[in-house]
This record gives sequence, structure tokens and C-alpha cells, in this order.
Amino acid sequence: MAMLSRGARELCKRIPRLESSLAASSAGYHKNVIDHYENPRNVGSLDKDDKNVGTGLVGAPACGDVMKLQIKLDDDGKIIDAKFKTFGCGSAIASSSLATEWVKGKTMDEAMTIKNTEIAKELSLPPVKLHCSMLAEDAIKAALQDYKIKQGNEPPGSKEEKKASRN
Amino acid sequence: MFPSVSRSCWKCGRDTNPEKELFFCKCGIVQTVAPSVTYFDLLREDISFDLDTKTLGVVFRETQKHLHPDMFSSKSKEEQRLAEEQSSLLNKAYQTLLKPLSRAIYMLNLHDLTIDEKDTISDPEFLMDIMSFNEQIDEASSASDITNIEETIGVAIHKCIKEISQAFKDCNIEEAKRSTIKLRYFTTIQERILDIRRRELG
Repeated sequence: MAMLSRGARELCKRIPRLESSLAASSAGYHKNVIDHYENPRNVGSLDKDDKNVGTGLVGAPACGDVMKLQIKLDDDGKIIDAKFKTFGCGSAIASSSLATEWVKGKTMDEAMTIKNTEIAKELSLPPVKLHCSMLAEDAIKAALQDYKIKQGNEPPGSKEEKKASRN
Repeated sequence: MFPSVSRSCWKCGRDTNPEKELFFCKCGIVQTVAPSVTYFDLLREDISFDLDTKTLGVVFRETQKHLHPDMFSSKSKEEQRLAEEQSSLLNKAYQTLLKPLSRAIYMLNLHDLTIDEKDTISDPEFLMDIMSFNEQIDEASSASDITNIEETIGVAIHKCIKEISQAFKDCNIEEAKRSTIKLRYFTTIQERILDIRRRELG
């Protein structure tokens, strides 16, 4: 928890700077963004070596942000857990927090359809912050991809059947 | 390095040589900003990533002295305005060239390259390192933990700077961009550490 509160404190410090960078948007951050970075959902890590866990790690070179999003699937192919860790601006944290909420309970195919525009709309991100929602979408896709690769490398067995039935 | 475009003095009308009369005409009158002049030109440096920031500082302060508002208090409004314009551009040039990251980004811009939102990074190992450094900062329980990370980041930054320098020397601009992106990441972590230190002091 100490880790979280430090993260939250740092975020709060960053808000004024961020707002001034959003020159055109006098309103600053939307309440949905503030809610997600003041109370980020699902912060943390899952065991990346677990076969049922997919890890997506993406970065935004323009601002030096890094985002890790992990999903855990049950044997029915449903996402039962999701965690994230994002080091970046408030919009990037809010986008990944929301993404973890949205993927939970979804199948892989359903999770694949989550669009950055939906994330941006939910958080009312200003145009200069749209790339943060894109990063979250990329992170979901990367996590799904990682899971698929891991399952593909699984020795023949129950998982293999599931994969075959999808193809 | 200097544009061949000449610029006539708005006061006496003679053609000024942008290289020798960057800020002032020989007649002593402050000039408009020379066309297509680079930040390097303004600070009398060759376009190179490797520059001596001490020399840069000396040239900067010396030039600013001549453009200082005090020197223009008895001059015309137009001269005051031009001096202000030149001085503010010179500030921007100095701040940009002083730090390796902004200097590298500026040099990429001179090569028509930018680092923007459309850029992605697909180096999982590198991203893993960045994630891990950030997690180490989160989990650091003592000042000496932070100092250790700071030192590691310092070494990484030094390495990036060397890579950028070599890439620009080799005219390998894509490679310079890749190393600049890395420098951006390490600099972000360095700023985060500085932020933590500042808060602990305050």
C-alpha cells in the first residue's frame, strides 16, 4: 500500500503541470480520469510465468510512459483477473485502469474488440491525450497475444483442443 | 552552416552578413531574426551533438548582455521589440542545446525526424528494464536504495549519450532516434527520482 500511496502522491504533484500542458482545454481533467487515478483499479502484477497469464508491455516514446497490463484466463477462456502498472501521466494511468475493468469477464475475442476511442470517450480525454488510450488498447492486444503464444507453446493436451476449436 | 540568404538592415538598408552580423548590423542597430537560422548558429556552434556546454554558456551570456533591456532603455520601441525577440529566441536556443535530450530531439528535427505519439517502441527487453527500474523506485525503502538506482540510471544515460553521439557522427539518424528514445525513458526516471528527493526535502 505504501507503494500505491507514493504513486498517488506523485500523481497529485503532476496534475498542475499536466493541466498547463493541455493549453486548449481549460477544464483540465475530466472527473472520470480523476476518479481512475485517485482510485486506480487493479493495480499490481500477476505471475508472468503462469501459463494462464498474458502480459502486455507497451511504451509511448514521445513521453517516456511505460504500461504493463496482465490478464488471467480460466479454462473456459474467460478473463477472470486483470492487473496493470503504469508509469506515466494521469491519462495513461486512467486509461489502463479502465482497460483492466473492461476486460474482466470478457472472452479473448470480446476483449480484442475494445477500442481506444471507447476508452477515450469514457474518460473524455482531450485530443492531446488520445495516444494514452491507444497505449491501453495496444496493451490489451499485447497481453492477449502473449497469452496466445504461451498457450500455443503448451505441450499437447486440453489447451491444444481449445485452440483447435477456435481455428 | 549559415544560410546564404542575406538580410538588409531595417535601419541603414545595407546587406548584413548573417554570420558576422547575427544580432546587430555594423551600424549598431539590432536586427530581425536571420532567416532559417538554427539554434546552433545563434550560439556560434557547429551543428554537432558533441558540444562543450561551458563554451555554450559563455557565448550565451555574452550575447545576452548585448541584448539586455537595459541596453535599450533609451532606444526606439522597434529596437526594444527586436532585442526582446532576439533575446527570447536565444534563451530558447540555449535551453534546447544545453540538455542532451532536447539537443538530440532538436537535431532529429533538423533531419526532419520527430518523436511523436505515432511512434511505438517494440523492444520488450528495454521496456521490461524501464518497468523494473520504476518498480524498484516504488519499493525503495531507504535513501541509499534510491541512490543506487540513481547511479544505475546515470550510467545508462551516459551510455545513451555516447550512442547518440556516435550515431550522429555516422549520420545514422534512425539509430540516433532509437537511442534518443531510450534517453527519453531514462531521463523520465531521473526526473522521477529528483521529484522524490525534492519532496523528501520539502
